[in-house]
Amino acid sequence: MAALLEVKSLCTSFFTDAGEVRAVDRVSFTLEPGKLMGLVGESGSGKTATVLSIMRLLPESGRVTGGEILFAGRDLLKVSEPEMRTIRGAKIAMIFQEPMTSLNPVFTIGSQVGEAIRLHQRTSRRETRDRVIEALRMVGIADPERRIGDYPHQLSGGMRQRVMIAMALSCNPQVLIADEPTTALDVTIQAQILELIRELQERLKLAVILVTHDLGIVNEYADDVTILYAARVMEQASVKELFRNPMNPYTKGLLESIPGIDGKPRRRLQAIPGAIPSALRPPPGCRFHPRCPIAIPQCAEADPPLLEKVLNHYVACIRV
Amino acid sequence: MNATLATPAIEMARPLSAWRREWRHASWTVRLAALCLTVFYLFALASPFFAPYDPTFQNRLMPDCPPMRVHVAAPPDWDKGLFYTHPMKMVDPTERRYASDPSRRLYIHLLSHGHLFTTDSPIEPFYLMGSDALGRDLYSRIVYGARVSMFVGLVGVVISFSLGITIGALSGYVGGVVDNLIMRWSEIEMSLPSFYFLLALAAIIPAGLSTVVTFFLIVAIMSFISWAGFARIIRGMASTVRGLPYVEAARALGASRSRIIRRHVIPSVLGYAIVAATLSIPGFILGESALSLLGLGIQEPASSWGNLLAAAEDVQNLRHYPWILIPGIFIFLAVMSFNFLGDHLRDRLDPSNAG
Amino acid sequence: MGRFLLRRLINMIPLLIGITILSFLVMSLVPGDFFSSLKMNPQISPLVIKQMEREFGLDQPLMVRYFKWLWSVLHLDLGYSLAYHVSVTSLIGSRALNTVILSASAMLFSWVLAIPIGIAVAVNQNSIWDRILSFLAFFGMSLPNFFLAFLMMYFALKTGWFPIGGTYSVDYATLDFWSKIADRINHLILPVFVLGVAGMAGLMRLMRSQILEIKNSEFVRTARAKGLSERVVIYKHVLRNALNPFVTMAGYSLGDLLGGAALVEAVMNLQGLGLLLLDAVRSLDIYLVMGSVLMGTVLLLIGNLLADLALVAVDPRVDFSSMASQ
Repeated sequence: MAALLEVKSLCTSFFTDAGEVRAVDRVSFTLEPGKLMGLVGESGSGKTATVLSIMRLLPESGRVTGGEILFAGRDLLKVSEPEMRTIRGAKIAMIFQEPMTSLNPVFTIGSQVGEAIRLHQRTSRRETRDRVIEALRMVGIADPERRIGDYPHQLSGGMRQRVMIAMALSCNPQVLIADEPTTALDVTIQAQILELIRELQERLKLAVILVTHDLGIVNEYADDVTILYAARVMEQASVKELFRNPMNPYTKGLLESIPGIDGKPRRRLQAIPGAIPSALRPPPGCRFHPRCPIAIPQCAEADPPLLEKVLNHYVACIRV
Repeated sequence: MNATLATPAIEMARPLSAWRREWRHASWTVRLAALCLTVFYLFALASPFFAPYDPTFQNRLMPDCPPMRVHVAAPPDWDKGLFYTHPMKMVDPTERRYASDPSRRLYIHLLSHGHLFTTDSPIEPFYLMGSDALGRDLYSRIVYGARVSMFVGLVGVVISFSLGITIGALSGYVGGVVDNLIMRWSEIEMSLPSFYFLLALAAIIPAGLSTVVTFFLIVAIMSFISWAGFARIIRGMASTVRGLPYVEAARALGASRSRIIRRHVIPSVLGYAIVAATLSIPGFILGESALSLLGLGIQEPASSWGNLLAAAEDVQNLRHYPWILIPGIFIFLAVMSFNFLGDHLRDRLDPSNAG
Repeated sequence: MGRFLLRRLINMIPLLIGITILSFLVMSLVPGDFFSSLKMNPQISPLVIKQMEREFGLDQPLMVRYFKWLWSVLHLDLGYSLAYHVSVTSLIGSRALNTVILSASAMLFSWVLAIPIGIAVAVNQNSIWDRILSFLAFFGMSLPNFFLAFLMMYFALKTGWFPIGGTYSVDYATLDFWSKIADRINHLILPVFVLGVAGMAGLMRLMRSQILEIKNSEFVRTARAKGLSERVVIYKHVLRNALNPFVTMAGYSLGDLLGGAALVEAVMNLQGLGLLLLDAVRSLDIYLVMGSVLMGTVLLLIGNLLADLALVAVDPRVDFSSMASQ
């Protein structure tokens, strides 16, 4: 199938007092309609910076320094800001990590969900109301006619995330970006929200980027997966392939640090030694080599390219 | 942020370099503020040196004399004095108009007779900032007035903070009925229109007390009005800190109560307290000035920057002798300096403001 | 809301009683009294003074006097002014009104200027205007209002554009209705400016820091992710949230406003409550002092109540039940 969203060697930096911080370094991936891609990495690995670059919502200190983001054939990095606003929310929507603080506390959820609909679809007041109710019902909010008058503080965290999803999907976008949508929620609620996203994704033929640090979630809900480490892509494959045949030592380390991900009980959980490197002064060569169990001197010399080792399975490691 | 955490040890070792680093950190406004306050406190500490004349000496020949201009002498005349002014003479006694006599030179002697600068005799004076209705040198009165105006803030902060911290801590520690009573009482105090209450309280001060006693009474009254706010904040902060995860962790590790208070509660409250103290000084300065201006504070012949301004309450004075407003500039500068300094300290001491 | 109001009014009662006790105690500590100056006057016989003292109940013990006074206060009779020879109630009413007009106008003035300027500098953060105006705000905050009042008086003296203090012109009584209003407004301009400047500076700084803080909050990012224009984001999502602490702050600063008004009244000779109190304190007119302090407290309590109501109106997270339990 043709790619809907294609990110090509994206580079994003934050410019701080201490210097330039490369948050995203030559990251590439493609997203097809109806597919859910997991974007996995530890905190600080550049997951959020990647998706904020796609939305062009980087904070003031951040800037895309290179690459292309092709959406339906157009480079989003080259469209004007007013044009980008017709894409944001309408064609590419996003939900955030903290449902507690991602909704404006002083407006009713009805008005907040309706805002995007009115903006992008130019609906009348009454029509907007109906669409809001419909959107809230779609995400499983009971009694939406009454709920539209509620303020965010009157809802639980899970309900707020549902409202966020309703808001994101209210304009029938083609791409949904979910930035750690369940990190702040209870485990039981997490599953409900992820099920909802998966279900809506299949029903609406959405392309979804699910940002997470949890490989277990990826295993359960994603079709494809991209693993980030210190701003670089380490491995890219379908979920089935990756879990059956992890090649990058970092991926292997991640999988070993999760209890029984493939159903087989493990004797002992393995932690990856060391800590994620400083983004300000990343190690030379492969970013992972200081922590890598199979590193050789050459690993410190050159950045390993992302190569297709098996069909549709890309790995950045000179040792495989 | 790591750098600021690491500083205390280095500061102990080399206090001078720590000061220098602080100086380098400061913006030019903060530097000016620090400079201003240093000068004012020097005024207060060494008034006789900075004031050219006795602040109560009345030169009956020269009431309401305007400020005199300073001229730089030509190098050959430097043995007589570096600066000189042309002496003023009253030309119209009813209107109190003065004219300077350009044919004569009145030399200003630097560092002589134990003054920073002065003239040979107060009978033929150099009025840097003019004179008041009784022929007293306004500049000398301002210098002496700094004693009241600059120390009222310091003493006031010390008193109201000790009161606030003691009562706040007591309230939080004892709890129960005492806590309740203290907090209700502080609520009453805080819902009072404080300036109205200040005026009413100022009526207690009997006339004819010495300046020192009056000064302390004023400070006591203002502290009495302002302790409540501090007490509530200290109490609130202490209880917040007590509940913070790292303090609970320390308690779980078996740290003693006094150790927790010393190592965790005090340091985290201290930064706030320093900032709050600095920012509350202007309130005391303004309070004293207002009271003295309204005739309820420091009484003549002693001077404070507030009671010097009282002369301007007479519209005719204001119209003809506008230099009597100069003490107001000093109040303004002192207040602004403390505001700048407090703001700067808040940025420096509160890491959450650093970014 | 009715219950909230009722609760708040009931809560005020112990507060007011506490304040009356406090001010009564203070006045009893005052060395000498109004009569000590009368006694110095050889024209008035000691007998007359004795009689007057009895009339005012000053020869009775403190407690008795307090309860007598409290009883009459409950009948809206604040006592008798020894210096003005009229009832305190009749003096205070018009004076309090003048103070309220002055304070409310000053507040309006500072809000009307502080909000748009605060927004403008926050949106153009670190621009040259931001720097200049932020510095000026610091300047304005540090300028003592009595000093500014003197400066404005001098300004009026030199230019002749404004009346030199006072509440109204000498020929006020002869003017027709509209001229009276114009005259009053003309006398209000400078005092309102003086009193408004400090508040304006503080509120502008608050507005600026609020907007800068909220601009980076997550719900604002959500709003941007919807495709809203920056203008809608700032003027709808950011501004609405920035107003909450604004209202809270306004409530807190009412006491300062009232105090500032007293000083401005004293310097610019405006017939307000503050000047009345000052005169009463100077002449030790006990009942007038207590009446003025009480009136000032009532004004402040009403102002705080209004601020709380405004807070409930702007912030959906605050409701009457949470307010009442505070």
